[in-house]
Amino acid sequence: MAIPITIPRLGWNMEEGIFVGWLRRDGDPIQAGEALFTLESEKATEDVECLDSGILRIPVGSPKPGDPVKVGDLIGYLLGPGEKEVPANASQESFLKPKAVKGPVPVSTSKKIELTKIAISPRARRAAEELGVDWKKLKGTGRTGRIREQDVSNALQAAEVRDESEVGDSRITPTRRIIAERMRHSLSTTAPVTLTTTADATNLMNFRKEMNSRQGEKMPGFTDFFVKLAAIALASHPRLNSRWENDRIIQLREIHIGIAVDTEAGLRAPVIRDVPRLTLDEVADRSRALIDRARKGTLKIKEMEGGTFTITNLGAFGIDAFTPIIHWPECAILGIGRIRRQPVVINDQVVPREQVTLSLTFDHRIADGADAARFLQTLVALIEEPAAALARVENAQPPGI
Amino acid sequence: VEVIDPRTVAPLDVTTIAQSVAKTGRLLIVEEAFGPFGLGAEVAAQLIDQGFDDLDAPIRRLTGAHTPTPYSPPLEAAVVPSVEMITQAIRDLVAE
Repeated sequence: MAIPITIPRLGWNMEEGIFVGWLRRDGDPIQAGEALFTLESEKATEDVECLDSGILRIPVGSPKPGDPVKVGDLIGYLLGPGEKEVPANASQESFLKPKAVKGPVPVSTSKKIELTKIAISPRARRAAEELGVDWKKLKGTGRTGRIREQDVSNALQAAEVRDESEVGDSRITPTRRIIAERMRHSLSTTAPVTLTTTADATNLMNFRKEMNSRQGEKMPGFTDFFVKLAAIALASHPRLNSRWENDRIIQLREIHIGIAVDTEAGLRAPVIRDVPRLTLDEVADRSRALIDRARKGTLKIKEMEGGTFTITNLGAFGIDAFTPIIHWPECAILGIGRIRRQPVVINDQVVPREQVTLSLTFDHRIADGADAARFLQTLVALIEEPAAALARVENAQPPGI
Repeated sequence: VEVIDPRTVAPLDVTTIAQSVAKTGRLLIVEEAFGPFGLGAEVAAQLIDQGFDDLDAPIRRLTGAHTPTPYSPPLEAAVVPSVEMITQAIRDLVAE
């Protein structure tokens, strides 16, 4: 019996992806556990391993590299010993309509059926193609719900109102779509409030400079400091390290901190796990590796899931304060601004100090303003005395190596 | 709305009809004869052939009733498409 090969769900909310290419050729003998093809999903590109053994059969009509595919799409077969051809029912048709294949794929199956239901007039289809409008997303106003030319042009006009300077292809990548969905979902389910405060980072800068002279290139970046210090502050303010799940607030013991990384493909938020158990240098090593992989687009899904708090640093772009959007389902996200030299009054003297603005967005359903303010207070105190804070923690928990 | 009154049915000036459909995206064929297997069906078939991509709505035909045409003028008027029926059919097609 030939075993169908279908597009797997790489992340919990993956619906579609881009087929990057086969790693094996038609006719190759495959052992279970061997990488079979590469699939790009919402946030990561992964090699998909084969669950069974057999001879790989890639039929005509299976996706080409770069084709968009839906979870559950049938892309090929594994033939058992002695089997020469794919089953008779595996005609071209089965590539359009996935048959009952292993794994629960009801979502994509129902979507397929919906797709065939969308009616569009030939003229509207042509117009949509010329204007680059994705008509599958439109709602037709024809008598039978058919999409008419005017629906297409209206959709285009609506899009133009949103962005009059729109140029080029408006095709949305899976990454972009998932970012959009996450952001919208976060804003529509949480009650975000942003608090901003300014911390004196002079000591932090000096501390880092000292490390610099000791460690040279491998010294931790500012974000690494903030990750570590935020973890310390979170430990004493567990409210901000919770999530709202099924009408319950779950306080999490572990502190996994995500870092927002700007990549060519869009925003990624790899997660540094168990920050309290790591030394500052370990945090720096992990974040360096994760950011590097994020830029290369080789992050694994599981490296981006499970965060309990997120830090986003726009300081490098000269931003002071902003209102970050909570990385749902976390409770809070900390925005770091640029560190700038400013006149500050200390003991009636105006002195130049390094100032950094912190923007904390938290979910008011989970925490109150005072909770968040207290967390920020703690964090500011830690930032202002980083050496003491880090020494205290690293002495309490001896660093690994 | 454009009205095309073909001079001849053979040869049929499909090009003119197709140009009009390219503008409006719609085609309503009106004839006094009955619908089945008639001239209107031929026009529709040729237009589909040449201008499928220009259509934004189904081609509609408005024909005489499928019955021998009565001799009496009032009865004849009831069998062939009237001005009211044509305008109504146009409105329907535009909303289609």
